[in-house]
Amino acid sequence: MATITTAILGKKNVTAMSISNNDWVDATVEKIVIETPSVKTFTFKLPHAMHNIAGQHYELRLTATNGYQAARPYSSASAMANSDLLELTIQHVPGGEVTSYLHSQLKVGDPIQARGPFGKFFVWEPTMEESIFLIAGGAGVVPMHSIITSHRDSGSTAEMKLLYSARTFDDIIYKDDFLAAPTVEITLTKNQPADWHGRQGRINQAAIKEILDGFSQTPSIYICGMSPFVNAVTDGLLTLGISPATIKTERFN
Amino acid sequence: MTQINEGFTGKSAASDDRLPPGQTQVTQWPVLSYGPTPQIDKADWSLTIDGEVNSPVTLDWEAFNKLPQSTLTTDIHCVTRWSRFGMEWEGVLIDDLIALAGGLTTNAKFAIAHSYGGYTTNLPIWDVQGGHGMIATKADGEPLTPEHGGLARSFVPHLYLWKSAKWITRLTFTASDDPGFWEVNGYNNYGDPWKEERYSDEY
Repeated sequence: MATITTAILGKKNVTAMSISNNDWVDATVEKIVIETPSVKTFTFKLPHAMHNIAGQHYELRLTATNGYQAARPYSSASAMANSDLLELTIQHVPGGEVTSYLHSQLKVGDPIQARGPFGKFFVWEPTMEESIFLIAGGAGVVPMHSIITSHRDSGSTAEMKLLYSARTFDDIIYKDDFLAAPTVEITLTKNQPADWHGRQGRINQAAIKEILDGFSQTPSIYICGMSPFVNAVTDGLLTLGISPATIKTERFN
Repeated sequence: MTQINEGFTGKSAASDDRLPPGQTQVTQWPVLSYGPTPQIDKADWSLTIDGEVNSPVTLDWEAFNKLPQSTLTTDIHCVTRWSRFGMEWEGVLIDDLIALAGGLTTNAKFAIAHSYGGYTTNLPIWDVQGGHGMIATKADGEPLTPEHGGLARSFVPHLYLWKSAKWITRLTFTASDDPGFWEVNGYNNYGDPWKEERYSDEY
């Protein structure tokens, strides 16, 4: 709920507006980056500064001329401290009414409504000292990018590793941040360029075990991806004797 | 005053009064959960009704399935903005389980569902009585699969689906409210889809 507090200082009216995370705000598109053939990162200019921790999500809402509205949740691509620029990385869902518009029609300068941040479970903050193993499939890497860059930018010394499964080299999101990052290992499942030095094939128990063995202590594990991906990875972890209580999952369908 | 997104038409009719505000109808059945899917053997399964009831009771799978079975044909609504229409759910009404436990004490105000794996969710008692809630074991005639909450999940379809606890093993009636897993992780304490009670106010 928006609450408006007005303070009268001398002869000047100073209005301070406090906005809840549940209030829709009018944003505009500042920048659109094509990450892959089906994924774009949108930067939205907000009417005021906001903050979110890594892993939280926002909602976007579109309004048609007849008043019809459609809203969807999207993971934030980065933690943001007191910034009026919100970055959301969004995969085009074929036939999806909102992502189809975002990908084919939304352009720089257009209006859009946003609200957030939301969620306090699948999140990471620089104050967290435990070891973290992130495992992502496809667009499930978006909240992981938020966590990896928050970890990097905060100078955190917590052990962290991301294992990211993408279909092909062209499907890798955030190449600039990920390809040279020591905290990131990428596996390409469908095909690999001739000079690919990363991992190949689907994430399997052997790959998980190899990375787990590299940690100096048992890490907390975050998994994000399509439901079958999350199921396959969690099954592998449980078979390795990892406690289900240490595993956080975020699924999309 | 809301700015229009030129060229956006949307797929759904704005006047569909069966669809709560801000929801989109889906035909598939998405799976969402915050951790690994527990695999529970029928031999290991139990359901306890305790707390502010007159005679707490624990049922094994066989005893539970001998109780009178009821069906609820209804729509389901997920806070992630999908709704699925006209599913038939089968199980034991929570009214019948309360009766089996000798009825509620006068102190009972809330029902807290506890799941295998540690999930909890809280509900006012009104929402689980009067035919509003069941412990479901089947949907559309098929046993619930583990990813949809099988062997048994609580089912309170007039609220967002996180209020229907997958893999339920205990329903505890309490005098005071005890916000559950999502309720302390940024989601609304009640979750009425018709009022769009999705998230808690964080600031």
